[in-house]
Amino acid sequence: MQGTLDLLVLRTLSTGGTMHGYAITERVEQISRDVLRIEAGSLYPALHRMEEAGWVRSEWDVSDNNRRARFYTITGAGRRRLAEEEDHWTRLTGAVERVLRLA
Amino acid sequence: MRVLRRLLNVWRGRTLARDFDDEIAFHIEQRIDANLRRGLPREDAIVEAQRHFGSVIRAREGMREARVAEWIPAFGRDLRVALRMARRQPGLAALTMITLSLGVGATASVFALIDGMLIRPLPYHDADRLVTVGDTFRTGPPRTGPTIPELLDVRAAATVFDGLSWVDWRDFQIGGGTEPARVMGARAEVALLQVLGVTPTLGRLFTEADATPGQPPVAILTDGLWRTNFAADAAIVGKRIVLNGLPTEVVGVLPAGFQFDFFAADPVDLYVPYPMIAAYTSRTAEFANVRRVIAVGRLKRGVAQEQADAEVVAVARRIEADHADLYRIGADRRDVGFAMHAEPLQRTLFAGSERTATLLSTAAALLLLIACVNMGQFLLAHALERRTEIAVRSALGASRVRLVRQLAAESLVLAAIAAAGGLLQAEGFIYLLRMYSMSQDPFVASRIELNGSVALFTIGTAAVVASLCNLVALVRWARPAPLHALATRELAPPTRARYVLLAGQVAVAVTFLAITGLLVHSITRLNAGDRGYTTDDVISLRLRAVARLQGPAVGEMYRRYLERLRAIPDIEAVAIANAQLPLFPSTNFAVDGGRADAATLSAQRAAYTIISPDYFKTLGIPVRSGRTFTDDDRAGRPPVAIVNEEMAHTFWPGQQVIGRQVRAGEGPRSALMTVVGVVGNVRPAMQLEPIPQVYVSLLQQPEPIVTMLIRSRQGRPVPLESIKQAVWSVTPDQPLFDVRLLSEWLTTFTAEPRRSLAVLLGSGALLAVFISGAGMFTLVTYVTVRRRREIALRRAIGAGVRDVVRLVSAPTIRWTCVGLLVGLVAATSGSGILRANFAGVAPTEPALLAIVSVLYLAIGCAAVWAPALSALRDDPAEILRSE
Repeated sequence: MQGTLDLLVLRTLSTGGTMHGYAITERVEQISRDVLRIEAGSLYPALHRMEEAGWVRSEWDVSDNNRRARFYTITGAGRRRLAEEEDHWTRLTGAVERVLRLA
Repeated sequence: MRVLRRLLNVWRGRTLARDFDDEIAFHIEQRIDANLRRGLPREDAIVEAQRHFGSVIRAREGMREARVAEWIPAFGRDLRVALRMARRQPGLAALTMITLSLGVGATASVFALIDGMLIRPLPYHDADRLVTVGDTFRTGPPRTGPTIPELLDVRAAATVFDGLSWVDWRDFQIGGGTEPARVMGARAEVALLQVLGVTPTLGRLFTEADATPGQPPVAILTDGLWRTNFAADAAIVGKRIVLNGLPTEVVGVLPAGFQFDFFAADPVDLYVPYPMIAAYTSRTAEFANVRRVIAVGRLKRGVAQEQADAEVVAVARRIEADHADLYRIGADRRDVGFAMHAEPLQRTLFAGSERTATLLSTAAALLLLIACVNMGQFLLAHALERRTEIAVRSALGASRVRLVRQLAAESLVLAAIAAAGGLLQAEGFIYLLRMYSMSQDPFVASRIELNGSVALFTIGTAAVVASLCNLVALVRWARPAPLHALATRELAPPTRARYVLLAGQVAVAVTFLAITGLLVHSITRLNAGDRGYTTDDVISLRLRAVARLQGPAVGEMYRRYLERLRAIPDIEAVAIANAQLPLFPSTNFAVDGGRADAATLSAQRAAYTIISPDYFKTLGIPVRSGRTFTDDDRAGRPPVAIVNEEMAHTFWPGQQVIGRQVRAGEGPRSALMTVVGVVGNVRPAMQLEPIPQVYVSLLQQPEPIVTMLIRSRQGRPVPLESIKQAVWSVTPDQPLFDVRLLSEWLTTFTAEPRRSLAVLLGSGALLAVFISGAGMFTLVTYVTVRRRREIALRRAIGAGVRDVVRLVSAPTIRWTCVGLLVGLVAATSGSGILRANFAGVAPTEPALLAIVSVLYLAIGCAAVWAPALSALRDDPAEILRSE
């Protein structure tokens, strides 16, 4: 789900600060204990799309191991978007849970 | 802002691509590092990293899609694909584009004609409320103007009109210039200009008082006359001008661009009030039953055409009941089936052009159709060729949307080219149409233009046609399944459907060509042989008797003009007549001893020409027996007539003709006359069969508006000045106008319209031939390209040139023959319709049809030959190795 990918990326950036794409995938896999895996082929288009939408901004900088990398930071608009997405997600999972429990 | 950046990114493609690659490379390197840290050997680390990343292509594409306004480069790519296709077969591509443009252009120009005639409102205030009122009779002409008493009754009784008025036209002589000048005046009933909704720029319109007999004469000038003759004098209102010798007060000036002269012989220069004298308004007066006004009404707001018509019909029924004796003719007092109708002004104006418009729009639609078939053929070939490409692309994950978008982009390119080419073409066709209409109806000509709605129509047609054609290709792509297409690279031979299309195309083109041929042939038939008169060295000029002369004095004045002119040495003969030539029937007639029942009488129509004695000498018409007129055949002497051979043979075959009685002439001219001479037939206009012609003496039937015909001695043209001086020595203020060669007049009024129609249809037919030839060429080229391998194989095992040519061309030629046959049959049956509408068209002309067939087969062979040859030029061994 595209919405889910956006949610994961925005959430990661909102707590992790400025990160490059690889770090984002690492972080998501690590926290989800390898349950959630982000395909790079989807991640980068999503990051570029979100930058076009104004939710993140990016700049080229030098990484820990002295390589040139593109770093992403969440913007104010991105945080607002994240709030919306989280809200949406909570309602969705809540609904699914209720169905699983009661139906 | 964001959109703008995405647009600008289109041109930063390379920089962006480097960025994307760097980002991807960094990601993979990070993974490799992590793998190495986990202790994987280097090769495994790299492979794992790459596998873990997934499709680099998809990532790159995705990023690009996010960053760049993708449709522009996509469009560019598709354009490039299309151009690549075009480069592979440039002739074919260009041919297809040109033919489509031609079809679109022809359609657009006919739309311009229809737009001018039927769609664009007339240039009057609330023009859709304007109607004409006309009389109809069960027999006789289809629709004529009502009489003044009829119109007065309708005006009094009808409730649907805001105003009902009428107008006719006269020559006027206007004083004050360097020589007596003639102007065209409209005699407008006082309400006419209000009904038309025009506001004068200076002064006022007419009032009831202006038309009352005995009032001082007044006139309203058109903008044109005001500017040319009166130097746009702002104080003209209230001044007096000399009109027909009488001081006339100018009461108003009309705005520029206003005109209402559709039915007038020439453009109108000024308006005078229609005189409401008893001669016109009373049913028993001299001119009461002359039907020569045009009646125009303005409907009340909200009144439907049908409602208005119904009311006019009802009023006419009451008129007929009240004056039954006026609507019965012949010895048996037969009912003539009188009725009156109201119809939209626009319909009346363009009634004469409808036939041509139908003919031309059918022609254009057919052209467009065969051009479409052509385009469809080309795109089908194109689609089949690209099926592999499409299959590869969709196997690689190009979405359906993507494919459709590409198709849409292609349609757009196609439509743009077709529209641009079509507009250029339309420009040319519209020029032809305008030339054609000019001779028919200058008003129609003035309304044919390449305006916004025509441009819009052109673009719309091009878009629809391009999308439809591409839709065919889309359907083609959709099946069979892409993978299947990949598996079987060999493509199917053209289906029967394509050959049927080809045959249809050929049939249309052949019909077109044959019909045009028949029309052109009819012109030759009409012009061939002896016309019965000569126009060599004859000039014609028109004059109108000065207004102060009435009745017999007019004839006497003309007699004196002729006397003076005969004295000029270089003039061989000179005559005055009411018409140049007796080309059209204009009167009913009865002969003594003939039948006098209404049916016979209304069917007997003759040309009625009022002439001076030397008319026959001037035009070289032979006098077969009896005599021509003399100056003694004047008012007060027994009425005499001269008839033509056709009439003599029909009514008095093998009998003495001289001394017989004949009654002819419309309205007050109707007279019982004694035949004194028989002359040769004059060939009528637009007709092969001779018509009865009756000549009467100018001195017995005074006619103020006449034509003077002057024949000079061979090769010694008479100076116009000496003619004018001779006339002016009798009447110094006599205007002379419209001087031209009789032959030129004849061309303009009789031959020109049909010639331009033939040129129009002829260019259409040429296009049709060209387009269908192009269609054959496309198809055969396609077949040849498709079967290259098979051809190579056959040649490798010994097939000769003839076998190869036969292989690629046989089905095309066969289906062309089928189309040819169908076309010939269609043309033969279609010529019936043509014959009903245009005189002189032969039912069929075997020679012509044979020529068309041979021509067509030749074109077919040529279209087939080139691609077949190209198939032979290839080295078979090379082809077999390469594929």
